Amino acid sequence: MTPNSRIYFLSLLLAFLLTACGRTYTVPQNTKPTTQKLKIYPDYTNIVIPPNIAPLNFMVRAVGDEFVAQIVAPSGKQIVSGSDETGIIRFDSVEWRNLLYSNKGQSLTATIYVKRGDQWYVYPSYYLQVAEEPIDPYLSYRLIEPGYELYRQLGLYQRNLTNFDVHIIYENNRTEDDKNSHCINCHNYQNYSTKRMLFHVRGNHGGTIIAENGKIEKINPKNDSLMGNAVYPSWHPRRNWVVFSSNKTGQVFHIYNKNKIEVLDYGSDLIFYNADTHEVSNVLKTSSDWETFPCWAPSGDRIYYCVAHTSLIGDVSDSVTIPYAIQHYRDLRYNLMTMSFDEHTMTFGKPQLVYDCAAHGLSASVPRVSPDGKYLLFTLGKYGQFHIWHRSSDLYVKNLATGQVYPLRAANSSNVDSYHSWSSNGRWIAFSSRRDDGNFTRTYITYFDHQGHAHKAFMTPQEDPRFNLRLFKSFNVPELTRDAVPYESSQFRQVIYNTDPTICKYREIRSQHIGK
Amino acid sequence: MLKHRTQSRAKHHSVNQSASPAKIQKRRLSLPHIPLLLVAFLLFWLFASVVYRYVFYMAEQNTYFAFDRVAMYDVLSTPGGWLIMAGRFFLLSFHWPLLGGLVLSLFLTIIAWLIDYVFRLRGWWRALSVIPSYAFLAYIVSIQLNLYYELDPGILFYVPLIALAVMTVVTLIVRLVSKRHLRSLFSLNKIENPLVEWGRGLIYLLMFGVLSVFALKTGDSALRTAHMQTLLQQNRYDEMIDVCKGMKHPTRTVCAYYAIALSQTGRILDGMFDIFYQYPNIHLKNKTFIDDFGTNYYAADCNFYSGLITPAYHINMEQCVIGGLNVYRLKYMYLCCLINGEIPLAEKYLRYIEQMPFEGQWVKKYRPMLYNSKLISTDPALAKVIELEPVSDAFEQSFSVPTFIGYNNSMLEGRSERALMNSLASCLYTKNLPGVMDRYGALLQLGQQLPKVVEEAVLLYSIRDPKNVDISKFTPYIVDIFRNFMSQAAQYKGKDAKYKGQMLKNQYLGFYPLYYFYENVPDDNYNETTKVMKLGDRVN
Repeated sequence: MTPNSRIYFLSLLLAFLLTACGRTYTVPQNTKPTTQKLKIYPDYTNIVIPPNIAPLNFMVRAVGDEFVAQIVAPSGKQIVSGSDETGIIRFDSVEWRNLLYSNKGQSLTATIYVKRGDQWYVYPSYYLQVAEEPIDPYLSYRLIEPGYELYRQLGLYQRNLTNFDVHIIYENNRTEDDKNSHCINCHNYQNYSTKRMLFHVRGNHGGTIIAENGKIEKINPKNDSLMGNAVYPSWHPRRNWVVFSSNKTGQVFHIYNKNKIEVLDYGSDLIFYNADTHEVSNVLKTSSDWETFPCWAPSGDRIYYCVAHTSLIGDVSDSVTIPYAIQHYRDLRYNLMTMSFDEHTMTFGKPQLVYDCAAHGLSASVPRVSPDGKYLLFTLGKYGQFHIWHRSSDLYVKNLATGQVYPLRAANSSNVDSYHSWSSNGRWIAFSSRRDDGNFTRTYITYFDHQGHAHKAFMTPQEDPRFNLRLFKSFNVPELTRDAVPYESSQFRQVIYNTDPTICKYREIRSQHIGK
Repeated sequence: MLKHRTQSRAKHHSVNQSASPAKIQKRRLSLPHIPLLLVAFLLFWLFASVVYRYVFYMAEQNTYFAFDRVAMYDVLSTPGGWLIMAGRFFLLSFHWPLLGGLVLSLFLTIIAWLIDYVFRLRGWWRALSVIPSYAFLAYIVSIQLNLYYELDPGILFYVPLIALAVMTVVTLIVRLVSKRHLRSLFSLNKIENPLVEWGRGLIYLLMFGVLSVFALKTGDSALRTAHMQTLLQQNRYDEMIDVCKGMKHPTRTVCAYYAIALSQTGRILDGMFDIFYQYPNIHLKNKTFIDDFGTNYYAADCNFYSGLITPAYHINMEQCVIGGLNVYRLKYMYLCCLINGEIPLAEKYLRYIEQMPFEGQWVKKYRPMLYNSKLISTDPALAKVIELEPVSDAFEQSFSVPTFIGYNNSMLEGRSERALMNSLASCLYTKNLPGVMDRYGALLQLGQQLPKVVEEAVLLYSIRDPKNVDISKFTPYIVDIFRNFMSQAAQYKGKDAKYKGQMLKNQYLGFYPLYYFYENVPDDNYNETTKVMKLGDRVN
C-alpha cells in the first residue's frame, strides 16, 4: 500500500468512526426567542429530581429541523444533547450522572433550541432542581393491560431507576395455555428491602409466594375461618408477620361512564399471617364493616387501614352482599382507621378513626405511613376503594402530628392519581397516574419535602421517551426498594409450577375490636 | 408386368411416402408447450385475490404489524415470534388482495417448483408438486374464520415461509450433490410431451375448481362475513344486506352484520325477518382453542352500532388483550374514544394505527376528528351511532348477553326513534312479546305506521287472550295470513319446530309468527347460549 493510499484509507476509517460514534451538538448562537410554548414529552419542566435518577430523555413536541437541549449548572458546567427532526433528546448517562451528583441541592437551567430553516430559535428556560436526597434505586411493578376480566401475558418487573435496566422478577406463560395460565399480583416488600418479599399467584398453580433470605415457598393462606383468600398485604417492618386484607371482589362494567369499570368489594376483613409458623388469624372479621388495605406503621406498633360501614346486618350470603354492593356502589365510602398492636402479646387494640372521609363525601384507599412516621399518605376519591378506575382520585396526606389533611396539589392531576409508595428516606413518592391518556397507568415520581409538601410529579424516565406512548400495558403497584430482587425468574417458576402450597393453620389472636 | 409392379411399388412407395408426413404431423400435433408453473401461479393468484379475497383481507385487518419493537414486544418475546412477525409482514400485502394474492401465489408456486426439482418428478407425476400448496389453501379454507379468530393470521404466510425455507435448503443440498440443473421458474420445458403438459394443466385447473367450490361451500359463511365487514368499512350497507340475503342458511356472524346494515339504514324492522334464522355451527374456536360460539367475533361491532360505545370498547380491549393488537379493533377503539371525548386516549390508538403500513388513508380520514368534534357528529355513519347512545348509565351485568341484545331488550328510554326501533327489534328477536307490547304504545304515540312485523307480533300476543282480541284493530290481510299460517302449520302436527320451519319458510318467510314459532330454535347439539371464556381468576 502506498503512503498516499494509506492516508486515504485511514482518513476514511476515521470519518467512518466519527460518524458511527454519533454527532456532537453545540449550543447554537445567534438565536431568536420563539413565541411558541415549549411542549416536551414527558413533561420534565420545573421539577425536583433525585440526584441518582437516570437521564430524563424527552421528546420535543414541535416542528423543527434540528433540536438542541442544554442543561447548565450554577457553576457553568453543562451538558448538551441534540436531535434531528424527530425531536428525541437523549443525554449521555455518564455526563448526566456527573452533572447531577456534583449539583445536589442546586438548580439546573435547561434550555431548548429549535432550528427552522437557517434560523435557530430558543424557548424560555426551565429549571431542574436536584434534591439532596436520592431515591431508592429500584422500582418494582406489574405490567398488565388495562383490561377487564381476561388476561394473557403479564409479569412483575424491577427497574433500576439510576439507569434503564429492567429485571424480570417473574412472568407468567407467554403462549396460550389453558392448563397453566395464571395471574400474578400484589407484590410487596418488607421495609423497602427485597430480603423479604411476596406476591400472589391466581388461577392455575395458585398460592402466595413468599421469598425470604434465599428461600422461596408457596403457601395457601385460605382457611374456612377466613372470609376468603389473602389479598392486599403489608409486611411488619421487622418481624416475619404480614397483615393481609381478605376480600371478596368483583367487577362491573359501565355502559355509559368514562370510568368504564367499577371494582367492588362485597366483603372484606383483615387477617394476620405469621410466616414463621404458617398460621393465619382473623384480626377483624365483621359482616357489616368492610375492612381493607392494611398498612403497618414504621414503628410496628400500629396498623392503618380503610373501612366502609354498610347497613347489612348479621352474616349474609353473597346473594345479598353482591346486589347490595352494586346498588350502593356510589355510597360506599371508606374511612381511615388505625389499631394499635402489641408485638409481645400479639394483640390488636380497638379500631380508632383517623379520618372520617365519608363525612366529607369522600372515600380513602391505600394508606401508607411515611418512614419517619409523620405523615399518612392515601388516595381519596368520591366513592369506593379501587381508585385506579376513578378519575376523581387524588393523593392526600394527613400530618399525624397536627391532624391536618390536605391534597398533594402539585403532584395531583385532573385524572387518576392513585397507588403510591414511599421511598425509604421518605422524600420521594412513586405513584400510579393516568394523566397521560386516562387509561394507561404510568408511574410518576414526586418529591415530598421536609415541610410536607409535594412537588410537581414527573414520569419515570425511559431510554426512548416514546416508550410510554407505544406500550400497550399499564404499570401497576409501583413499589420502591433499596435493593434488587435477588432471585431469578426461573427460581420462582420452579416453586410456582412444581410445589404444592403449604396449607396454613388457623390460630386465634387476641384483639379488642367490637364485632363478630 | 414388371413395369406395372415397379410402378405399383413406386406408387405404393410414393403413397407411403405421402402417408408418413401426415402421420408425423399427427404425432407432433400442434399442442404448444405451456409454462405449467405459470399456470399454477395464475390459478393460485386467482384463488387468493378473487375467490377468497375477502377473508384474506380481513385476516390482514385482524392483525397488527409495525416497525416498532415496543409495540411488537408481545410478539417478539413469544417463542417463534420472529416467524409470526415475518408472516404478518407479508400478510400486509393483502391490504390489496391483488397484491397479496400475487405474493402468496409466488410463495406457493416456488414451493411447487422446488418440490418438482427435489423429487425429480416426471411426466404426470409432476402434477403432485402443487398438491402441498393446494392442500395448504384447502386447510386455510377449512378453518374459515379461525384463520384470525383462533390463530395468528400470520400463519397464512409463515407456513409457506417455513416450507419455502425447508425446500430451499433441501434444493441446495440436492443441487450440490447431484449437480442437476434447476430450470427457471416460468420457463418452457421443451423436452416434455405437450400432451402431458396440457393434461397436467387441466389437473391444475381441476384442483383450482375443486378448491374454489370447497371455498364457496365450506367457506361460504367466512366469505360472506368477511365481505360484509369489508363493505361495512366503506359504509356500503345495501350491499351488505344483499350479501346476507344471498345466503341460504345465514350464520350468526352474517346475521349480525345484516342487523348492523339494517340499523344503519333505518330498516331494522322492515328487513330483519326477511332471512331464515336457524344458525348452523360455524365451528369457531377462541384463542385458547376452546369451542366458541363466535359472539366475540361480532359483539364489539354490534355494540358499537347499537350506540353502546363503552361496551364496544370493552370487548375490543379484551380481544386485544387475548389476541394481541389488531388494527381492525384498534380502529373501533379509536372511534369509541372519539365519541366518548377521550381525546388523549384516541391519540394513542391512532398512533398505533398510523404505524401500521398502508393505513394512511384511514388515518387521513379520521385524524381531523381528533381536533374537531363537529366532524364526529356530522359523519353520517358515526352520527347514526351517536343517536343510539344510552341516556343513562347502567352496568353491563344488568343485561343478558350479548349486551347489544340484552340492553335493547331492557331499555325503556332512548335518544331517538331509531333507538325505539332497535329496542323493538331486539324484543322481537328474543321473542319477548311483553317487551314488544311495552314499546308498542310508544310507537303508536309517534303516529307512524306500524311496521308489519310489529303488528304481527302484537296480534300474536293478543291471541293469548282470544276473547279480548279486537280483530278490527289489525290489518285484515295480516289476520288472514295468520289464519292460513296456523292451519298450514297444523298439517305438520307431531313434527318438531325445525321441521315445520323448513316446510313453511318458502311461503311465510318474513312473517313474524314463523320466526316466533319455528325459527331460531335452540339446538341441543349446539347450545345457543354464549360461553364465557375462563382464564383463571378475575383480575383485580
